Amino acid sequence: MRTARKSPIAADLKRLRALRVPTAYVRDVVLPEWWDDAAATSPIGKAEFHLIVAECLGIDFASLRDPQADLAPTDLSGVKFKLTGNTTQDQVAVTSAIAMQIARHAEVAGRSLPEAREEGAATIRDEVLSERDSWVDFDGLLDWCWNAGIPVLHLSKLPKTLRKMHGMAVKVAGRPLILLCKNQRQPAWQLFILAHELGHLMLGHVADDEALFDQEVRDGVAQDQEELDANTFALELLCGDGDTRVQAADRWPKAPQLAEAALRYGQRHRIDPGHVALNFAFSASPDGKLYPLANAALKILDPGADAPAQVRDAAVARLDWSALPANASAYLMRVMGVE
Amino acid sequence: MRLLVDNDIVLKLASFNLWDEALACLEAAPEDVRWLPTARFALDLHRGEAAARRWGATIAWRLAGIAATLRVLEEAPNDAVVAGLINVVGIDVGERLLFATAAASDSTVVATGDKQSLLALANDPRCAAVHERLRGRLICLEQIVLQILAHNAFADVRARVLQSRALEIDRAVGIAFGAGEQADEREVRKALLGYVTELRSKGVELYTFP
Repeated sequence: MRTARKSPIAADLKRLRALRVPTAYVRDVVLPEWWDDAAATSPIGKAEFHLIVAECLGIDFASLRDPQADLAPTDLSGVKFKLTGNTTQDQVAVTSAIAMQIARHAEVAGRSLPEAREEGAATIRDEVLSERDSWVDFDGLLDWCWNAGIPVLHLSKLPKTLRKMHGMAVKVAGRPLILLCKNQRQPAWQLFILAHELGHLMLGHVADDEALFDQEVRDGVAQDQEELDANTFALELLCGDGDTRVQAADRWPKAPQLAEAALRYGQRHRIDPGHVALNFAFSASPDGKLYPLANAALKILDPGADAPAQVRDAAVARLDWSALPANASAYLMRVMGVE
Repeated sequence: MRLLVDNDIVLKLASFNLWDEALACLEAAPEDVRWLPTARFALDLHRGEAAARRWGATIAWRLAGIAATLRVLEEAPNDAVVAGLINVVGIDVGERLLFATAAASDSTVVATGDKQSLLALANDPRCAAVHERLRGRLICLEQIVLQILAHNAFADVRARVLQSRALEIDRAVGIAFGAGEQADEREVRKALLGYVTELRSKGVELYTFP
């Protein structure tokens, strides 16, 4: 009778599952494509597995090496957590640790970018508008960030079992970076999150080797002062006025009407029509009841949108992949969802 | 002397068909050479057809021959030393294990085909202790090719390099032999020496050949 040989990393995979990191994620995203468990039968092969996991997932190496220890994310004392509802810091610790590791990789691959600039919302708006006839759209702001030495990444492939963030503003070795994570193809959503995270960086909310983890970025929801200030910054950047609220008549429009009205309003005020639709939906119903209507309008305004792909394409084109070892580049690509 | 090699240098020397010449220059018997247990997987050598598709049949065949003679490192390096190298992103995980292993033994030398990792080792403050321990025990590909040139006929070495897709395999060696059949020994040596000098000038404590 044949008996299946137990994988030398089976116990480690079990410990990772306890941290809500599924085995499939470890095999598909964390480990290099060439990985074979047989490599981990020797002590140094096992050490290599632990090192890969530690560096990709931000898990403490010492806890990985001790089979009796509970696995723990590395020190996250530099991360400010902006959480919503009843979410606890422990519930997002692994997500945050993974994101920090991604930021560290991106910082190395971004060293050939210009030195990062700090500007106010009005200046950024003027600079983006000087490059286009219309409004501050997602593409334009994304371009501005990269040109200003601020890499922007979308983490498309995080473990589905983990609670995630909408965005994260990070500073690694003096380099500001923005990580987006919301799984939303419509650029208008990502636009506000990007502008908000940019606000955190420009307003000095993030010190060097620190990060700000925004579980949810939504305009107007009761938050602390930093969140309110970042929202005001985002509105000033996108609309020219930090208090912009798009109001409508007493009845809600149908989605095609909202799309058409948002386009007209956007053209008149040089505001991205997608943002106009979202701004209206929020202003009319801050609890989010109108977001489905706004989403329907967004699909009319930009039916083929794929904002994560826009972020991905920019990152692939702008980062210097030769600065990273091949395995690190491949991991970064996998997390960004590059096929 | 025990010689630790990374996947990269094995692949490059196999591609140039200069592996045996490299060992001769380093005065290393095959049994003195070690690599990581993951190396044969990383190079797809456990899947013969995949290796042939990836590297081409000839190089895959050479790699398989080299792999058959190489011994695999077994013991893990000291965890505290490895932990000190965590998040030094410029150095591949495998190279970090090689550096940490070599740092524990005065008679061990590391040869790598990755100049970026040497620069990171020399310049990242987190690597300072390990780099200090490895002072004079680090070898780069360009040094090995220079030694091969010192002990072999230039025309033969040039022919082997040119038969490979040198520029795709290693940018520095590819550039050094960039003039193709017209490549002149003096110019090739000068170019390779330039890369070695640059590494030294940026703080990498390379091995000094007698």
